[in-house]
This record gives sequence, C-alpha cells and structure tokens, in this order.
Amino acid sequence: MAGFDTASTVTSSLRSTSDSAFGQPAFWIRYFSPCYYTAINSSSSNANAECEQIWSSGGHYLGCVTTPTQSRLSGSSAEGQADAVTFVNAMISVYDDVGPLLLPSNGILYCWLDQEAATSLSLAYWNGWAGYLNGYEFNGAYPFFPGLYCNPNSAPPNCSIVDSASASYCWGVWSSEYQVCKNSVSSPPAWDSESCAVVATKLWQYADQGVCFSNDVDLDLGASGFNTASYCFNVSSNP
Amino acid sequence: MLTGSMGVAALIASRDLFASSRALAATAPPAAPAARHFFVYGIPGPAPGPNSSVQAALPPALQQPAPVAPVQVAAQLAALPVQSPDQATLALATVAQGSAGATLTLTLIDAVSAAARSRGVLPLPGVPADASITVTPVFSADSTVVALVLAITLPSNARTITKVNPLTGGTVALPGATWTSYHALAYFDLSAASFSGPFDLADRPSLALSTAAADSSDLYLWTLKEPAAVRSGKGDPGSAPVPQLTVYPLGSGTARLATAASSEWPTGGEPVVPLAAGGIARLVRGRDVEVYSASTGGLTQVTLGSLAIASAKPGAVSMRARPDGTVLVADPAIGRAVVADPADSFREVSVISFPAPALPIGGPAGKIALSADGGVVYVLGGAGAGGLSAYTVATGALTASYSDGEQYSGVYVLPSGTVLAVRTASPRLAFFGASLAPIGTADTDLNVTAVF
Repeated sequence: MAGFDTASTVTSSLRSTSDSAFGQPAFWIRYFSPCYYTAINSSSSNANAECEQIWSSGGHYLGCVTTPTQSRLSGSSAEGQADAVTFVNAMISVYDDVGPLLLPSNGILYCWLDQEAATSLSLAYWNGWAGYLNGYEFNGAYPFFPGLYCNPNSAPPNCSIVDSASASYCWGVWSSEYQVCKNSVSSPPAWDSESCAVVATKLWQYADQGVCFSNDVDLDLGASGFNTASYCFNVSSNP
Repeated sequence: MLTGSMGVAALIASRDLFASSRALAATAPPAAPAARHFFVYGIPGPAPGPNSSVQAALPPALQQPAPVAPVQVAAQLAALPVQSPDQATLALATVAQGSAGATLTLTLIDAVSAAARSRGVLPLPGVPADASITVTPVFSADSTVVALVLAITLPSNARTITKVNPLTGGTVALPGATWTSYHALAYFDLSAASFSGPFDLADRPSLALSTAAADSSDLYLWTLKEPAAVRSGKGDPGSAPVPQLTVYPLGSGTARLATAASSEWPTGGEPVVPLAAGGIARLVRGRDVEVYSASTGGLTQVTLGSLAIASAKPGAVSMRARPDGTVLVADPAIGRAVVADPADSFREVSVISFPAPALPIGGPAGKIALSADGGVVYVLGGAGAGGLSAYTVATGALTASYSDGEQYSGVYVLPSGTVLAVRTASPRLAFFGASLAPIGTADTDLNVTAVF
C-alpha cells in the first residue's frame, strides 16, 4: 500500500490536487517537531485541520517523521535524546488534541528520524534518540518504534550506524532511493529500494517532488508484509 | 578532548591540487599577516567512531594558493561550536561526568592562532553520572560574554522493557526510564576568564530543547514545559503549555522579563537574529518572522510572502543580518532568498530566485553564504548543473557561476573572502575566489557538518 509524505501542511487544496494526481493514499506521513517548516503539532487547530483533510483523503492514517536541525545528528547522545523528547511530546500533543486520533491497534507506531542525504549520523546521537523512543512508556505501553529515513547508499554514515551491534534497536529503514517516477499510489512500482546490510527497508520513497513532478508530496510504498498504515496513527473519524 | 595547540594534533593528509594557481602566486603581493583560520566540524566515518571533532586550517587565496592542511583542534564535543559575532573566536564545549558530578569545560579558540586563548571549567555538583547534559553556547552581540544554556535531563525508574518485533514476533529487551529535564544558565566573561553560575532555572519538567539569542545586554530564552507531563490528556486542549520567552540580564539567573511566546515550539533550530533596529527576530515555519520587543517581550509577526511557497521537502532555512541592518532570509528548497528591512516592518527589499539545489538540506548547515559586505550571496548550483552561483543582493542578478557537474552540499564565505564549497566525498573541500574562480581542493577525514 502506498501513500504520501509532505513537509507542507495538509490543506484541502493539497489533498484534492494530490488525490487527483496520484490516487487516494493509504496514509499520510507528516512532520512533527523538531522540523524546519510548519509542524503538524504547531497548534491544536492545525492538528485538527490537517487530520480532517487526512480523514477526507480516504487513507485516514497519519505517520510520523521528524527533521531535527541536521547538524545535531552528528552530535552527542544527550542531543539525540533532547530531540527525541520533543518529538515524542509532539506526537502525544497531536494525539491529545485530535479527539478521534487513535494509536495503532497493534500498539506499534513507527517514528522516523529524517537523515538527509548529506547528513552524518553519529552512533551517540542515534542511541540517545532511539533509546528514548524505545523506552518511552505511554498509556501503559511502549508504542514508539524508532526508524531511520535515509539514503542508504550515500557517503555519510547512516547504515553503518543503525546496523551496528552497539546501536539502540532500529525497527526499520525508510529509503529515499531509488527514484522510479511511477506517479501513482494506486498502482505503485515494483519494489526497487536501496537497503542497509542489517536493518530492513520497510518503507520506500519512490517518487519525489522535484525529481518526478512538481506536486507538494512525495510517494511512498511499504515493503512486502509491511502494511504502513497499520503502523500509523488512525484518524478514526472526521475531527 | 581538546588539544592545547595545533602542533600536537594529528595531521590530516591533504592533496596538493593547487598547481594551477601557483603561477598567480609568483606575481601576487604577500597576504595580510594576521590571516584567520577556518574551522571544520564533523564526525569521522563511515564506521561508528569518536564523536564530533573540529579541525583548523588556513584558507588559500588566488594570490597565495598554498596547500591546505586541516589539523585537529578538539574532539568529543558536547555541542556544535559557536563563532563569535566578530569571527575572532570559536567556542567549544565539552562535558565530563562522574560519580562526583559533572564538569563543563568551555574553550575559546583564537581564529588567528587556532590555539586556545581562554578556558573555563564549570563544576556541576550533584548532577549524576547518568544524566544527559546538552550545552548551547551563545555569544553576546559584542563578543565579550558567552552565555551557556544547559539542559540537564535526569533519569528515574530505570527498568528493562520488552517489545515485540512486528514482523518476526520475537521479543527484544530494551532499557527504559522516565526522564525529566530542567535548564540552567552560566556565563563566561572573556575579559575576566571566569564563570558565573550555574543558575538553576527551576523549570522542570521542561523540554530539553530551547532556543536562545543574546544582544549586548540580555539573554533571550524560549522554553516549553513538557506537554506530556503537564497536560491532562485527550479532550483538554486548554491544558497545553504555551512556549515562554524569558529574558535574563547577561550574568544573571534572575529573569527581568517573562512572557508567553507564540505557539511555535522552541527547537533550537529556528534562526534568531538580534536586530540593529532593536528587538529580536525569530524565523518560524520557514517564512514567518516573529519580532519580540527587547523591553516588553511584545510580539509582532510578519509573513515574508516571497517565501510562502509550499514544498514536499524541507529546506535549511536561514536568516542572517547584513551590515546595513537588513536581514537575508533564505530557503534553498524553494530557491528563494529575500532581503527584508526590519526598520520598515520587514518590507521585502529584494528577492533573489535561483534553481533549487540537489541538497537543499542536510550535511553542512551552510546552503547559502553572504559576502562580508553583504552585497553578494553565494548559493549551491541547481539540481541539474550543480556547482555554485553568485547573485548581487541588491538586484537579484546572477553575477558569477561555476559548474563542473559537482553537487556540492554546503557553501561558506571564509573571513578571508575565499569561498569554500563542501562535498560529501573526498576531496571534501573546494576553494574559490570571490568571483568563483577555482583555487584548488583539499581533504579532511571528517564528514563535514559545519564550517566556521
């Protein structure tokens, strides 16, 4: 099942133009604090407005990604943990703000760290970031499952970190390559994602804005056996 | 770990690729005597290794294309280095933790000698060895004081938890704990070479991330109470905490002003600039400038219309002051830079449009650079051609470009005026003259995260 991710706010206009161009998505992945543009958690009204559009889009599932200031990803464990604290609080705030928003019924919410292609990830940062998410208790459970968005074949350290035996558990990679520009979520391409040696690629960004088209979304496909929507928040009714 | 001088640090092999420029050197006048070093921050790789490090080197020039040989200055840093506004000093912070408490060391590196000009040690008694400590150094606008914003995060209820692998059904045992953060301030006076503080701000539970800026008299600090700890749960949006702006006179742990800020969470990543016209500007959402009054904390907000363009991908937005008091705000993801005038309600004075680069975010923080006089802006070349381009700020006109097909990941203007572009593969450093004439390349074993 394929869906969208975007750094833009999910407005009525973005939803309708994206659905028209690519088909109805199975999920939307949005940016939570810390991030560079408007975070979905920037206000209660914004979170509800975006979730209303995600509900209307048909694929009423909300995935979670964060883009900390990229220079921090080369930093210390404490810096990774500090970014993770804000990310977890952003997710919980949206959960609290949007009445019909439910945790995944399987208790597994994938939480992605955005490592852009030229960014270097340190083991210390990853362990601080992923360690916090892995061990965070919420509603009597441990629903946050950290994963890494990256370009596995790029030169700066990425796979070598999360593949390390010393790394806090990474539950999957979301790969930004290869680009195949099949511009549809209803009929996605055959699986052709880059991968790391140890941690499996669970999600593949196969068509990007600027590379394949000008629309304000990227297109993503879950790996075989990984129904991405099942690992996202569920917008269970129209907020 | 900080080396006392460059001489004892490991020498990094450098390729001599300056032969093409040597002919110019034979006829050129000698360089100014007090040339400043530039500093490269990053981590070695690709294998997991030591934490972030800093190396220093003297830049080349068209008239003096000497080989560039970065040497290590420091390693195991606790924070991104910070350069003083006058570019004369680089502040490096390290943290050591033990059973007796923690110790923060601030080392100030002189840009001319690349050696430590001053160092201060701040004990943090009572901070346990398993605490997480982040440090944010902030120079005062006159470069005489370094404020340190500390976030201290303490664990409790340490335990082992298990998670079920969603695909295999197997279980994984992992460490878990409850963490609570608070902030503290300290100040290092450069003339006295001494610390004041630490001052506990007693703001627990707070998010560890904060945003800070300083002018010549005050420290401005944006913080947020930890929502998950203070909210009452679903259906009560009124219990959500509001970000706070607190203003501290430099040297003090007692606020002179505290007020509600905008709803935008402080993440430490929002560009913040003290304005020559007064007040502090904070860029949020990549397009909205918040201006906080220095006297009252009152907030006004302006949207820069030329940057209000949607994008699926984030860009490394930036905001910096120009010598004439205007600010340059840029978003490489949409290929736009705007000069706005704070003295005129942030009216857009000029707009520079350029092809969006292949790497508008990530890697080196510098995606756009400004000449010392503020008259020329350097950007990464477009995703197709790569290279670099230069534009006149006043007119937005393209004045120079260079392309060898290389997709550079960062661009900086060094204090000497030399333009430095960063690659993700060796040789990682490429030098250009102000008109983008190539000077040569050099290497470092660091994956470059920032250049100062």
